[in-house]
Amino acid sequence: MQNIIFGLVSGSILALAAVGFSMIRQTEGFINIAHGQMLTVGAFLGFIFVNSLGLNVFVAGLVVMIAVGLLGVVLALIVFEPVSANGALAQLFTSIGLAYVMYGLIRVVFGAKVQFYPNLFGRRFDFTNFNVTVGELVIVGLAGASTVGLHLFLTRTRLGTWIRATASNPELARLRGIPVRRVSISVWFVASALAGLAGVMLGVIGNVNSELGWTQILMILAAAVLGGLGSIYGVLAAGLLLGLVMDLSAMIIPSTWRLVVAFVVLVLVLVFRPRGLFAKAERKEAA
Amino acid sequence: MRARLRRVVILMVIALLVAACGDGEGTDTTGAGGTSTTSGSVTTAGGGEEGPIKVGFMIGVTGDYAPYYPPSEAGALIAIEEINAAGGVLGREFELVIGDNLSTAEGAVQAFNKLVDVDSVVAIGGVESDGAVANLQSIKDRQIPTICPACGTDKLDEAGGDYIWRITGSDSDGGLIAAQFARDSGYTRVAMLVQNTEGAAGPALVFKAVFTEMIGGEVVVDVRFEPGQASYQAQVDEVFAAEPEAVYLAAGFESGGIILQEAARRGVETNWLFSPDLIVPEIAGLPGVDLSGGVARAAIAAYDTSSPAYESYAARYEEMTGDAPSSGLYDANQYDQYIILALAMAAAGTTDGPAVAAEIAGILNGPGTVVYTYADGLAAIEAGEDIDYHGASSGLDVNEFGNLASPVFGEQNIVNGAWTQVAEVALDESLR
Repeated sequence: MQNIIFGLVSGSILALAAVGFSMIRQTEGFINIAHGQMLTVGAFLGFIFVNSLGLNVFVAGLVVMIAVGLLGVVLALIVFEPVSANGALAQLFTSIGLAYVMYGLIRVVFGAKVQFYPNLFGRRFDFTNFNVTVGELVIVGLAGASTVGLHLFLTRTRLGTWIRATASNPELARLRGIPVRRVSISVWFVASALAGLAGVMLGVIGNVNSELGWTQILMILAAAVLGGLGSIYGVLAAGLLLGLVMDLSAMIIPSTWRLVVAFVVLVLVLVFRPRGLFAKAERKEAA
Repeated sequence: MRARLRRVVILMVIALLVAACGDGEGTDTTGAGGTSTTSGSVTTAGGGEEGPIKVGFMIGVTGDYAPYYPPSEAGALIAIEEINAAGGVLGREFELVIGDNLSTAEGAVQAFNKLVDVDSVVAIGGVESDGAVANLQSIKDRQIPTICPACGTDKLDEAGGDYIWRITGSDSDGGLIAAQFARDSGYTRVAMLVQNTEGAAGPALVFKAVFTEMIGGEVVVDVRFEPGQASYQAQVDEVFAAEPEAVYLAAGFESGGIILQEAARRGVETNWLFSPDLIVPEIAGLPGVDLSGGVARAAIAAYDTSSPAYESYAARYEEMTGDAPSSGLYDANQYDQYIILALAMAAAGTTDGPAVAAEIAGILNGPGTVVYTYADGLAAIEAGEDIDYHGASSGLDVNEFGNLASPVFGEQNIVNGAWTQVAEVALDESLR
């Protein structure tokens, strides 16, 4: 049971980070490797807001979401939009280049030194055969609330409906008069904001370092592929699943193998379902 | 469209240049395996008879060992300044070439190859355990005199003495001392939490062997983990589920800090036995974690503060950094290594690897005129005398394997938010 708690925590953060990645993939049509650097920016900004400016961590998280969301929009407009006509491959390589540029700038601006958030949420609740800290409840709760908020946004708002339509069929959406550019900007903002929030969460339970983006992007990509690159809800589920698999596996095999386990699961799933776990369900839903 | 694309490309190139030129924390290195020069000399090509003598400083500027970098650089620069102020070596200026090993074995291999093949250094210092082990054969094959100021790995216990020397205590002793602490504190049930790296696994191996086989204690759980993970909740939970009396933690500060904060968040209180890699300011000042009052104990080779070499070095170090030297940060060791290399080159009359290597044991062990500075050593050598260099970090006598013959250890506790030596520790030889 204890490992389920841990799996939910790591899976929640991974799900938040991966869903934005998947949203960009669906609406913009390419894999954005620079998405990992958004987590790093979020982690560092959150550290500065909490540690240097003394902001409450929840307020800091909200400000980080807005700041990183806006950063995502700016980068989309000045970096990705100019190369969008050149195709997905060009955008992919542009994202790789942008990731390196961001990595370098992060080290210039925030430094190469590893930082630790103040030790927050230090109360523990003990149950019969497991315990949970306030921090773990906060992370899972926030991730859950974000997911519900995202779902309501996508299903109950006009902009959300436009996003889903564009993700399903961009050309048809354009023909139907959906403002595709406004949709694009909204997706970049939401995806980047969620990445920033995930970065703050990673900083709270771990540390803040300039390598964060590189270490996370592989897991984000794995969650996106496992869930089905075209399925936002599938990616959410896949992120949680990967987190659970990694931490539950620690009950049987040494925890040093948890990343190996995650990728073995990914490979096995892809062997039997090459489009990912939930891709088929998503196609049915769109139809 | 083309104009916009051009603007984007220009923007990215500018940003790349900014990133490449910026250093965030005052370091002047480039990325993985990258090198840069310091000490004010203009780099000339190769390591021939003209121009400055280039020596490598292969160290973790980034990564787990990054906290050691500023004091290490200070110690090294003090040595370079002292050498050059006394006229350099063989009439040539000594120049430090920095290679960032990223605090990983892979980064150390890249940095070593670049320092030797591209920068043509004639000797290397600053090496850490992972780098020493990863490059051990290359060091011997390429005949590059290499001094390890901070290598604790037990793999060097009997592997050096020809082209590699270690001027700090072995982890074999560090692990033994940790077991000694456990015994003296009356612990019979200890959990182990060990990072899967050379610098951490080495002392852990010794600790476990001594604690279980020589002392008769029980390791209730032995949890290994990889560095670089976002959290270690499962590992912390597994350790404390075994209800140990103390926890032996061997890790770098990046993962060690996460573990200690996680333990504090979970409200678990225990006694900690730390590996030397955790004796860094970042751990002493970790937010929300109180390790004072002897809750955390560690041991590291101590400095002989009564030595004239130490006193001279300490004054300059304090002037440069504002802090006193700290054996936990190996700064005086970093200083000593370059004095040793410079004296060995002066004694050999050449920068040729085998000739320099042949001189090192002699200038460290004597017999000869005892000297405490480069200038004194150089003067004695030029007068045709043998020398016995006593350094700022210790007397520096080495055995046939290039290890310190009689290292002195000090116990470190956290006092007022800083690691502080609280006592000298005599090794219980019966535990070997």
